[in-house]
Amino acid sequence: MRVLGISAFYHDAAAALVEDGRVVAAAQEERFTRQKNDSSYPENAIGYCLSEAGISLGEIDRVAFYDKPLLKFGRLVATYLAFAPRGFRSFREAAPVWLKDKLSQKRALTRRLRAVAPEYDWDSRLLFSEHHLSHAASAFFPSPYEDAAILTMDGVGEWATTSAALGRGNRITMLKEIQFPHSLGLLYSAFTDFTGFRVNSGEYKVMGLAPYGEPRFAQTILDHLIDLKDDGSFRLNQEYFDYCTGLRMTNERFAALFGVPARQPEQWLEPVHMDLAASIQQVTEEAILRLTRSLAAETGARNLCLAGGVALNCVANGKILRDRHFDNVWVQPAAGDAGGSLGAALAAYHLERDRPRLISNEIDGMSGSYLGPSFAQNEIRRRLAAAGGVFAEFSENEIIDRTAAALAAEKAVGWFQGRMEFGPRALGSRSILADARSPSMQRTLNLKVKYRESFRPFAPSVLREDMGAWFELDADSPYMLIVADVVEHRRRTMSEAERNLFGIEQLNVPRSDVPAVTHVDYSARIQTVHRETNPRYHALLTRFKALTGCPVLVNTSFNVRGEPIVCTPQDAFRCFMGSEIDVLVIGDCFLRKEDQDPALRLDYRDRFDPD
Amino acid sequence: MRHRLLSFRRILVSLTMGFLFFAIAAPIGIGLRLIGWDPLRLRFDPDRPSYWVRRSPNRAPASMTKQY
Repeated sequence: MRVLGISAFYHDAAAALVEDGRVVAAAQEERFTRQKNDSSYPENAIGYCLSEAGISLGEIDRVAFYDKPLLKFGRLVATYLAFAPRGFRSFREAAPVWLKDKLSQKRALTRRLRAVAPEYDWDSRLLFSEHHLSHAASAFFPSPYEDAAILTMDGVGEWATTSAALGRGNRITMLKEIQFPHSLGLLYSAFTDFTGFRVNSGEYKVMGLAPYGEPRFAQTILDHLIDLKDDGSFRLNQEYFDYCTGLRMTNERFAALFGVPARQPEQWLEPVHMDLAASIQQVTEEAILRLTRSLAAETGARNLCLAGGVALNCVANGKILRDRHFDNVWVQPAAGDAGGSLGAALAAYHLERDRPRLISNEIDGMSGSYLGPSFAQNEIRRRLAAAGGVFAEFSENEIIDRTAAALAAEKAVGWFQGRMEFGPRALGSRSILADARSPSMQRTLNLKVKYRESFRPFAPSVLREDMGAWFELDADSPYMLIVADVVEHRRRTMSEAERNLFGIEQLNVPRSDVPAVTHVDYSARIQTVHRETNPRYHALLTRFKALTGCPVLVNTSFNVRGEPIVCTPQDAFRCFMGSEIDVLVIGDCFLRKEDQDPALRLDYRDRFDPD
Repeated sequence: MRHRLLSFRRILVSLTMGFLFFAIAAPIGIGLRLIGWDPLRLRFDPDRPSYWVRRSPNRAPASMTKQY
């Protein structure tokens, strides 16, 4: 039985294909259309999933959409009624769209499907999962656990913003939820917006900014904005927010509470913004820890599965793990709405069709999240030649040798291998790699390669078997979703003068043996690399370790600021020619910047809207 | 000409939406709130130990065929 999952029309559109319970393919539409966070019907992603399985659309038994449009409409109506006559501006924008398109989503979806495969009855094959059930299914069914507690947290789906559930075998029982407008995701987004970053993508930046600040507003947030109960459940005081009735996240009372106006994106970051980031991060962690502790007590479960956009807060995930109320924590790598497509497909297969689950205790069902398109060597050669690339081809062994040597010589390397990752993180298939030992690498990569703010730290990839010697973590983190500290003896103590440096200046002081991936609080967002899921990347790290003694590399996504991560060899070549990446390795092709035709250089810096 | 038609359309949509909102939604909303309707649970309640909302036992799997 084959189920196609679709998420679309709100944030990140994506498609996923499940065949007899196995996740065969999954990809986000933005990678194909090159429009960041593209939310339109994922035509290209669907086409890719079908071609990966070698089937046509008619051979799909069920199509599962990731949420229930009419429940969401009900929530909107209730919200307008709860605030009217306030809220007209928002109503004026939203109501015509709903009346015109969104209310007839079933018809719109079947029309799209019929356009490709007209001879099938799509009405009877189309299913709708609840938004948080989709997240819960994406968190539990691919996990390596027979049974687990499931916690999903995001901005909002239909009504739910936080859900707790129990998974056992091929069943999920939804236990309880917290409903709109009370939402940890929206609370975090409100601070993202207020500190001058973009909602739905700038949340990472707030998390990255937090270690620079003091959480001096945490009590203010707890006293005025959120009523947080002992069990982690909460309500938000809507007198400070504007997202129910207006087109903004927060209002004037919110600004008055903190005594500063909202920061505009082009304004300088000041200490107060860092303190705001530190404060909301601390309150979010406190809420999440109360939620996971009470969930552990209530269910007695030893395993925890997480999904929903808030589960991308890897600093909080690290704290859940160290809090030890659960023995094991597994986070769905595509925790945001893109992953809802996969969850909807799995919910349809296991819950609606009642099919059994394939569980392995050794390895989860995500294949390392390498679920996207790949390109055969002859295809790579053809595409690179057509783009005008000058390259040499080597054996696998030689490719690994040359790449490791380039990295040890402090080159920035574009590394494009195998199947593209599903989810927001690059995990060694579409990555830019560099030497984590270099004290200047963080600055160089930020300013010359990624064209972005330099306060954001990079993340390390580390050989799983060597992790204990470098980081204070004793669990797999294959999806870069858990933050832990660099081990004590690899840290560098700061001098008095260095400690007194202000804000971002601090980041330029090396504070460990791997300064490019060490944040100002000595933390690192770790990806463990496993031979079973990515043998070539594992081999590269092993060779780099043999050369340098260090099994750690900087791993950042293969794109520039505001650009979706590269998907095809041509995308990679363009990004290579538009940035200061020194070496590009695609499959068995090796390209050096100095060999390329200077006429093909691109001005890439202003090509994308800042994210 | 096309531009004028577009702006005429916009005005028409705004008027319709204004009517829907102020003449229909607002009186209904205000009326419902007067009789204590609080669908968004906007008030804090210091006496409650928890804000969790219990789910009724799982709906039948057949409900996945529905948009609600």
